[in-house]
Amino acid sequence: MTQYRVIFDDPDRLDEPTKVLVPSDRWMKEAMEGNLPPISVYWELQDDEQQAIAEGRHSEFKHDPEKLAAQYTAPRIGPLTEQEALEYLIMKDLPRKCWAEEHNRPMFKIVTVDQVPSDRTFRNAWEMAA
Amino acid sequence: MSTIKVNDIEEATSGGGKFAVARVHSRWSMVGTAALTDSFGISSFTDQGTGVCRQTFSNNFANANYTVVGLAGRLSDTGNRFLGLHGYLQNPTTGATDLAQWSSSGAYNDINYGAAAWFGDT
Repeated sequence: MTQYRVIFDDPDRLDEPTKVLVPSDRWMKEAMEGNLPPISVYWELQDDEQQAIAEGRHSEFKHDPEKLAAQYTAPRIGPLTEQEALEYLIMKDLPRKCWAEEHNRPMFKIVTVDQVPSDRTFRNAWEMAA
Repeated sequence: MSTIKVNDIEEATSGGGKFAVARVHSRWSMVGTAALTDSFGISSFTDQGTGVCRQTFSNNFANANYTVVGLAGRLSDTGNRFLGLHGYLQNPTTGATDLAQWSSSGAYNDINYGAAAWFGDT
């Protein structure tokens, strides 16, 4: 079971509380056993869908069958370390602006689970420490 | 009596199956430190703030017209809890669904028993 979490802010929604990404243990196991396709497979799907959203045709949108199938059929990239699996997950599941663009402060951090507060009384006021 | 033992079943043609099984399921808690209790087909679960989470799939659905069924509650506690789609941050996409949890007063509320399953074309 991974002891890591990814805390991040969405650069487009900086007024919102800091978010906490919890990796799936099952997915991490798959990643570390080498069962993932190249990350570009997911980026292509994300790009196609974002374009459909931008053009107002998301309700009728369907992925290209070949690109969709590549999730299962593309050659696997081989076993990843836990650190590499987390980096892959960040590039797959975080808003791309978090990690692909430069900002005047870090937009995400990998932390251990014990660094995430368990008292949620003021959850909506959480901010990433400098 | 014969017994069939397999680890997986896959459609020969995507979307062509004559049976509908959940493609993804997730069990989570947002009381204390947010945790993904159990899941299948989920790459990550994101605690977005009080009562709001994002479930991101390991693999994308063919379209975003999938069906989600879910259940929300608090174990060892009183009061009703509700689970619904949270479309404010993001409408459902082929890769993720945002869900919101409320108490019976209508306020966003953290639950320690969230469960959902997704049915759709992959």
